[in-house]
Amino acid sequence: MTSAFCSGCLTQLRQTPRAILPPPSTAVPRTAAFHTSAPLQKVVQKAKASGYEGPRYRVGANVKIKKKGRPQEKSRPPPPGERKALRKRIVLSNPNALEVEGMQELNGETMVDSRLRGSVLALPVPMIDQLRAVQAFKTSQGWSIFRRPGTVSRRETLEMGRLFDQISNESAGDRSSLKRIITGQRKAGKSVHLLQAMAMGFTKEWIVVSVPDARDLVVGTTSYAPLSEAQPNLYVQNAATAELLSRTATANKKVLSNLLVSQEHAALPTVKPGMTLEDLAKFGIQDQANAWPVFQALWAELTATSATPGLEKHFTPRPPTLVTVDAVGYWMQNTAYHSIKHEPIHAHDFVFVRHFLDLLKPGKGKSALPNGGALLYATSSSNNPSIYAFDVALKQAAARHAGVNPSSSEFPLPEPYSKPDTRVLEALNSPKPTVSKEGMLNVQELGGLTKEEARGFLEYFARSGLLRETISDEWASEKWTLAGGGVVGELEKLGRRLRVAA
Amino acid sequence: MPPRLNLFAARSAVPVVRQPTSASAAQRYAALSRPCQRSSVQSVQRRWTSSDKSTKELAEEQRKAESMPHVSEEAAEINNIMNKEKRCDGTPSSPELEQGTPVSEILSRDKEAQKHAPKVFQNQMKKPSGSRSFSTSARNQLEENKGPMSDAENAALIETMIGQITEETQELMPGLKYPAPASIPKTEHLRRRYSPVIEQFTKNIMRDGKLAKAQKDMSIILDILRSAPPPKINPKRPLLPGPAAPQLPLNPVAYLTLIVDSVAPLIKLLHARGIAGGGQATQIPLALAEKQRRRAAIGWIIDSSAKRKDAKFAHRVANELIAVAEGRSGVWEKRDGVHKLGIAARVNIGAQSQKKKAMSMAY
Amino acid sequence: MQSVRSATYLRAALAQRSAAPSYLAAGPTMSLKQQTPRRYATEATPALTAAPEIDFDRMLQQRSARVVPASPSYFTGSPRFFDHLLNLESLLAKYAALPTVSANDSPRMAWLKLPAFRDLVGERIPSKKYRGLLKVLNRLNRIDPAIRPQEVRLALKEFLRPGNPYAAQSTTTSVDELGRARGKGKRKESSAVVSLVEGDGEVLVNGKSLVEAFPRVHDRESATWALRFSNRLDKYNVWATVRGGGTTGQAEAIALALGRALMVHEPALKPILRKAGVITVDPRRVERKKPGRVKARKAPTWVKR
Repeated sequence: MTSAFCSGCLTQLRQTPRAILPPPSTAVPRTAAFHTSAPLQKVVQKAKASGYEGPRYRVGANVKIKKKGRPQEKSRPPPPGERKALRKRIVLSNPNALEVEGMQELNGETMVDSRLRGSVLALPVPMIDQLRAVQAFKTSQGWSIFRRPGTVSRRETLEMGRLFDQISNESAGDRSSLKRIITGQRKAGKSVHLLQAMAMGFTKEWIVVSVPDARDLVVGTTSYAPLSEAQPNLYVQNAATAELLSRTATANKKVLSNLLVSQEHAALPTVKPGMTLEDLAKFGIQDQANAWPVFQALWAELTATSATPGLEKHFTPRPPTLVTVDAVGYWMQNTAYHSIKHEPIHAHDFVFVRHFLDLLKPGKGKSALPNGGALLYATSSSNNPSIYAFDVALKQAAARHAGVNPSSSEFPLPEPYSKPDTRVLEALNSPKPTVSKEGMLNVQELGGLTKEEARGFLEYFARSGLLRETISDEWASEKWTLAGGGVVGELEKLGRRLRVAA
Repeated sequence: MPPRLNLFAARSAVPVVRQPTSASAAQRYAALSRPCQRSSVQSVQRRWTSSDKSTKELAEEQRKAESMPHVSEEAAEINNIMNKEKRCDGTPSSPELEQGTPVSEILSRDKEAQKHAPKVFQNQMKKPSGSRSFSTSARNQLEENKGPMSDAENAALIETMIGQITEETQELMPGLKYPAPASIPKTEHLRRRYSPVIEQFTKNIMRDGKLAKAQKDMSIILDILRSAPPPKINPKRPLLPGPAAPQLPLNPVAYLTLIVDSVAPLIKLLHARGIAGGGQATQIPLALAEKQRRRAAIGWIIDSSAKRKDAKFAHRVANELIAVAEGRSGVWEKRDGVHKLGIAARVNIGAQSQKKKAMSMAY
Repeated sequence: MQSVRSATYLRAALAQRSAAPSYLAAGPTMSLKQQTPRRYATEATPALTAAPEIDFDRMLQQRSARVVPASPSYFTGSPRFFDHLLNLESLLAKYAALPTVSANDSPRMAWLKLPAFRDLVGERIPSKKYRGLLKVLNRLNRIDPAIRPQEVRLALKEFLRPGNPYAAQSTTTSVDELGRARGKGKRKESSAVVSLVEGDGEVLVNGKSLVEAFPRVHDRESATWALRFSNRLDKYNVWATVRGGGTTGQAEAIALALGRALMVHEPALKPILRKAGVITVDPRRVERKKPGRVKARKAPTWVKR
């Protein structure tokens, strides 16, 4: 392997950005190429130790007598990693809670059954491992007090279930696709909506590709490197890509092990036609340096509608694909990474991010998801960067979907002097697709539950033995109001709230 | 048969808490462990308010609910719900409420469900004439006995309901638009909304006046109490009579109350100087009021939780509470120590007043 | 012998005083005939009329060897106060048998505050003694207003503050033409105005939803307490405007305002709203900082020398 940079480039190097050096030319870099911490370190100026600074405001110049407090016991801090493990731990079961009799599981029938609206559907036990693999559960969600994880079947869920059902029932090769950005206020259930989508995807044996937290890719915690000599302004995150492959391979093991490589992959000489896609993904997991090419190969396989000539015997029709990204707002700004000139790198310059954002646009010639499927990207409302351009872009996407002409006066435009990030506006500028079956980008806002749904949800608490109240319409309606109009996360807080012993 | 649930009947699964042994404890914990009682009535009430249809329509509806809906009907229903929602008018039907089936009925025909049914249900099915009579089973049988009602009965029932409602509205006092709550529990006061122990515990874990943080910690503690395994009670250090140990986690407030009350000391020792003479302090035992006793216990629990290794304060305290319940905590020794000293010093009880008397007589 | 005479004298003096207290030149009078406007001791009082010349012969005849003051309370140190008190007590003794109403149903009276009363009598009355007087006044006020004697009525009127503070109703007592009831409330540094209409449970605080306005569940509960505990949260819509202070103060200011607005819609709820603590004003405010102190009360560290 040759050096990624010529000597001319090297002369441009300045002193500080040591972390941006190209990969060493000797061997295949097996470990993370470099890290960001060095340029981030700032020289902290110590406050000067000065003498008397004059009297402080309204404090007498009196002698301070230190009180002898209680002797502080010095207990050792917990071992490294324990606190983080505790923070990240996800508990999905509370053996003390009662088993809810007659609770239905999520399956092909119940996910479209509108009579179950407002009731809580349990997640099937085998699927929980898959959902764990794609990191669908978050610590902030209250799984830990129920006997088994379950989600409430609300209007949006049923609607999504019907769409998934519809896409699955279409003939292979002619499936439609769905593109949505899910927004909504804090605790409105956006992440759980994605979880429900993933659960439905697993039920229908789709391939689920998930980015559980978009933030991880942009805050400077993963290694990164320029993509290639030819494209020094594009960056690749191999470790993060390998993790993505690992998540995808583990969760979709059953589906991927039945699909065979049926395309030519010139960049990967080790990949032989006829091996399973699971093995293909494992290449990228084991050899992180190759993670990105492997992911590209995997994606090419998943979106293939026919085999390369000569490899037809390996080809089977590919199932639909579900792509979910949570907290997508983090991808709409400069990252914490720095370029060779020590300028911040925009998130869209990372091939990983770019790949997923490009899917939102209509595909050239063929659909972005030729085998059908769904793209569900959710925004986050807690610990979220506030990006004006993204807000405008979401409004524009909604207007475009509603059929508003971009040249008309009703089309939302940014404020004249606001200097919005044009790349963000461009990324979500998704015109009506030319391929008939491809869905157009839409923005779905999740609101609160209706009062009936809220009542069903709270009854689930009561039936789990956690809520010792008589559930009446009035009572449920009161909680609905206290939850700001049925915001599901707030309802959950109210459901587990304990004021008095019942 | 479409899946039918009755959410109201299922509420009977809330565990029936064992009757406390002593009378006073029974009185105290009766309020803590009271299962919901009016739940079976609620389903009926719900219909009163929402039904303004004629009885014939209702009967028709019931007939539909009994039989499996036709495919096209179902599709129409789905369509109806989805479209209606989008237009934001009309309320969607909530089928599980209108097509209720008692859980026991489901269990009786579903062998698989029987296997996974809660133990209470299983026992009940095995030996219906058991020695223990659960209040829930009685209610269930009542519902079963009713059976399906005829149309005429149904109509009569609705007639009486409508009559009652009209009566109710007429009976309203002048100056009321809706019926006023009949009685207000003590905890329905704005400033006394939490149960006394919760309130006291929260205020005691508050530091620097940060009440919101203390409340958050308190809710974490209660969540840990309800998700931790039930305490294995040490027979040497039993808790006060109350709900049985396996039932405690489902009522964390009662659990916490029981723990705090169990280790609360009965007395404190007053160090009175100048009675014995020579600058020596005399220990005088003083009886404590309930609130003082709890305060002492909470203080001990928080103090001894500081030695734990858990990273978070709330986890430390919760684990200490569980340790107290299982008799492993050092708080028990503290209490025993105080009691022992108190017993030893009981001769001093009258000392102070005697001294005063002697002084007053001297002058 | 002496005691008997003094007793008879007292009786006579009482009768005389009830007719017209001569020593109180500008004092309140209880007779119907002489209705003079009330005056305070600080005003210039006309000179007391001199006592008539002493006729020693007559005195010797009556065997009254010394000068007797007009008021029996003359030697108490605060004779005017005790005259008032004795008068009221005699009234009470006279009408003790009359039927009474409960304290809540009796007309609300704004009695003179202690400084004003001191001004009126011109004596330094301790507050405890004045409280005793107020007790008698309140007891007299409990006599059924329908059959209350004119005498009592007039006696009570003496002690009323000028003007009637309770007559002024600052809050509106009826809903407006759009069905809105308005209530105001304050707590800590916050002040809230609530408009309450019949509805289906929408609550907006400063145009934001309840969740956005109050992230804490505790505060949300506080703000809607009046509707919450009376099971009316799904029967009214609330529009609240609140300014100043922190979240707790704002929430509890709304609670008070909402309680008052609800009383406009349903006046009969007042007793249970009182029990729920939502119309009881919490008058506590932050205590001001004082000069020479670090905070309101904290003293600077004391150092010897």
